[in-house]
Amino acid sequence: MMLAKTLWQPLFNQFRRYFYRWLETRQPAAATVELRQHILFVFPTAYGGWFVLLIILLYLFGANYQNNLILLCAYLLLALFCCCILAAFFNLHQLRLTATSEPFGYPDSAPLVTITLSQHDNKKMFSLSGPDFAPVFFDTLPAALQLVVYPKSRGLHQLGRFTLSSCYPFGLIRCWSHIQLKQSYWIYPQPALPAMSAASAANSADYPDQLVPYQSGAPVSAMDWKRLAKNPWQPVIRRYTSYARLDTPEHLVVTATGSALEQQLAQFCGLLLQFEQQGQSYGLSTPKTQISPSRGQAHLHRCLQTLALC
Amino acid sequence: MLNPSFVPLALLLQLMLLLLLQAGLSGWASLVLLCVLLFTYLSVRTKQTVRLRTINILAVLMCLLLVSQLGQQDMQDSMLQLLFFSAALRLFSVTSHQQQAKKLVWVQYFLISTGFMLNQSLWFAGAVFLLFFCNLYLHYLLFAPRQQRRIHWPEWRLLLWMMPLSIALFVVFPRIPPLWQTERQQQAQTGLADQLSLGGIEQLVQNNSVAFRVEFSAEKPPQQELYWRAKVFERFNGRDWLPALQPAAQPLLPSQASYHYQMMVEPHFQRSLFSLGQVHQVQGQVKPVAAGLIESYQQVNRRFSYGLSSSAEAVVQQNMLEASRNLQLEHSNPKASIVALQLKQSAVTASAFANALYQYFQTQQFSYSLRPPVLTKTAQIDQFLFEHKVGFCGHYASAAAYLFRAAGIPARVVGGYQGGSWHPNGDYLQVLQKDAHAWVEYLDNGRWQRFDATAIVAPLRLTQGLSSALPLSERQFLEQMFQQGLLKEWLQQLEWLDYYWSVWVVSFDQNEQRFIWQHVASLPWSWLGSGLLACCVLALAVYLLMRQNGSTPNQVLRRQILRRLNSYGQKADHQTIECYLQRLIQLHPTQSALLQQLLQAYQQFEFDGQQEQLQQCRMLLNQLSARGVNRHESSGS
Repeated sequence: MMLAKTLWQPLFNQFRRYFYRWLETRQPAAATVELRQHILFVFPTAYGGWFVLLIILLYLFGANYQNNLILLCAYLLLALFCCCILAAFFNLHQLRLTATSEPFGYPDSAPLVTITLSQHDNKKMFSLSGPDFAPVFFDTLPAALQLVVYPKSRGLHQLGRFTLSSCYPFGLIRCWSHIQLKQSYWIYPQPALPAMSAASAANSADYPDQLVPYQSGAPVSAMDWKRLAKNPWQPVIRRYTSYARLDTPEHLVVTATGSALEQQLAQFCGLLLQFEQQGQSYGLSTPKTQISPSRGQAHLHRCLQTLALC
Repeated sequence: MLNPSFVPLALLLQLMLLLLLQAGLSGWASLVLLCVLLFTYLSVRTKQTVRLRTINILAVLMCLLLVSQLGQQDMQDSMLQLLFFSAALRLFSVTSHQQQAKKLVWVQYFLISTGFMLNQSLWFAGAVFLLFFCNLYLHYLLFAPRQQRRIHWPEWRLLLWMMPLSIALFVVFPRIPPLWQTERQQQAQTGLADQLSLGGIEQLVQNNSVAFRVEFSAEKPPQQELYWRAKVFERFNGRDWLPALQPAAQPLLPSQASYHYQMMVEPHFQRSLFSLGQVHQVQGQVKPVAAGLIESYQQVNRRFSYGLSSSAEAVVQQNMLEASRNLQLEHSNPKASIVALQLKQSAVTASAFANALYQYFQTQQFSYSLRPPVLTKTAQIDQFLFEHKVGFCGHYASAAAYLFRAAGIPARVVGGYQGGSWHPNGDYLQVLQKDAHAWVEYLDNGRWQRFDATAIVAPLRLTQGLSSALPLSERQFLEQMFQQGLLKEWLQQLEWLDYYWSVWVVSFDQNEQRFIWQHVASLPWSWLGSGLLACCVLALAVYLLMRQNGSTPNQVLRRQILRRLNSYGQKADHQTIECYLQRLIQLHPTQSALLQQLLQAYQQFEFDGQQEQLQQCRMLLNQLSARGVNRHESSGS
């Protein structure tokens, strides 16, 4: 048993490698994949095999007893089997999968990859499996597939080649396709709670520079809760000196290397999120890239992506 | 996992199957199955899953029952029961597992198909096919979305495609000959017993089912000539007439035949087949045997068809051995022997003796009855001829054959059928089991002449069938078995359908397959092929044309613009139509007004969806292309 396994495993892996290399030339990664003849595989399932055995048995039975009606039954089942080949093929044929914009996530909460489908009417009973996500099953296809990918380390990841298969109808024939979409997703460094820097430590003392009435849009974190408890009708926020000098942007510089790098990245990730929340402009320098200070979601993601790639 | 309607449907299907397969199931098996199904129903109803151990115990019990009955019933029936048991037990464990349900569907396909071993009539077949498609639906439910019950159009289409495909397979798929001999020990519902004892045919007479059907291709014999020979009994032991021991086969005598007919025999689980007079030619899986009879190569356990050509003449004597064999009298009926010798004194030849015998039966007040008194003495023939004088064909044939032999004339008893009723619609003769008959053949000048004493005693028996030959009280006894009234007419129609079902479907075999192929091969293929090719080319041309024109009006318009304005200047690949037109306006200031209009109309049509602008575009294009040509002409001259 073990011997067979040790002998077969390398051979199997070798074959698998060849197969995937062949697939790579046959269906290179694309933003949109339409399932056509050249990437669809059709083969009987195990139940299909049993079904063929049934047909053969009935044929022998009918032939031996010279019973035309049993033969007719065998032929009916054979015709069903043949038609199923076509039906299974057309169940996948012309289905179009399109990659969407790159989603993002953190190592502890993996992103939700969305794949939009078109020409999916009358297509049923699909199962989707791949190396990057837990297998999912669909009775009828929705307009967009949402795949929860497994947690990964930080960086830009490519959604691996996944398999879309269906045994519909009658479960005799399985039709499947190994699809490589140009669909990638970001895993940002896990944000750590920002450590108290010297400047912010001074600011976080309970001595506000000034108190101003709350206006919608102001950060809730700056709310003076004690005063709010006393006088709930007139919320007041603290304004720190640093808040006043929002115009002077923060600039983060990635300096650490080795194991300290991860720690710093996590810290910076948390900081960047905090800055964005506070509405402060910020910039980032890494050994490879420089990002000049700015604000907004696009800028935040640019910074986070740079961090993820460090 | 499983569709909620799967289990109830499967239960219903098995119940219907149980009703349908009654003929193949013994009483205890049906009872056990019914109990199991009821148990399943209750467990489904109360939503209680049955433990595996219970099922296993049930299975063991059922197997034990089956094994205990093994010696007493047919192997085939045992197999059917085993299949049914496995299906019924499988249903228990199905409740939620798809794996089990898959196996159940598989077994049920097999079980339903084996139903055809029992019966192949149109109505039974209809019911079996109904169940077959029910099972197909169950199969569909197994792999369809869980909440779905309806069958959608793609699946109907699949089903529709299946039909012609399976019919085509049925017609052209090669058939293999039987791999092993399959003999079935079943009590035959036929009068063709292996021996003719006095009283044997009585059971048969009440049987109103069809024995066989005949279709004559041209000439039809008169009713009194319809003696269907099936068996010849040559040994008499005082009670029973038995067939000769291993007689040599008699080869066919090729000669001019007057009747050509196709026989369609219902299964009677014997090899003997039916023929009329002297047979000259046979078609199908049959062979000639001794005494001018026809036999099938194997037991007839399904509807069986063969063709014959024969003449109405008496059967030719095979050899001297045959004559001597038919003179032996192992048992003595002293009174009958004396009568035979007395008759022989006045009649010298065999035919004269036959006439004398006819006269004897006519004058001695014999009568015909289906319920004659039982013959108790050892000299049965004497008892019949001189005490009771009441009997049916078996008694008369047996007595007459004895008298012939006692007079030194070789004679034998022939068993078969006599007559039959012509079907009003179908131009075929239908012979029922109640038409079973027995008569005598005596040797005269090298031919076995027919002698039927029943024809003298009850002449109506021959011309109008059995019921008119009987007294009224006996007719009522017989008619209990007959359907009457309006229903009868309907039944006749159905029988007619059933006949053609058996002709075209049930008895379709290699010969007919070969015939179809020959027919197909003789078609004018060169003409058909060229016609087909022409059609293909035409279809391709139409398709290409459609593809060119079949695009949207916008695409057509763009193509037109490019073609018409080619003389003004080529469109660059990177340009849009609008850019192109604008460039043309700059290039050709003389035509700028028209081009400007065209640009506007094009924009309105393309982007605003104003359909009326299409016409405007075409008009402008026509003008532009005409002017363009003019300009070229003028510049050329």
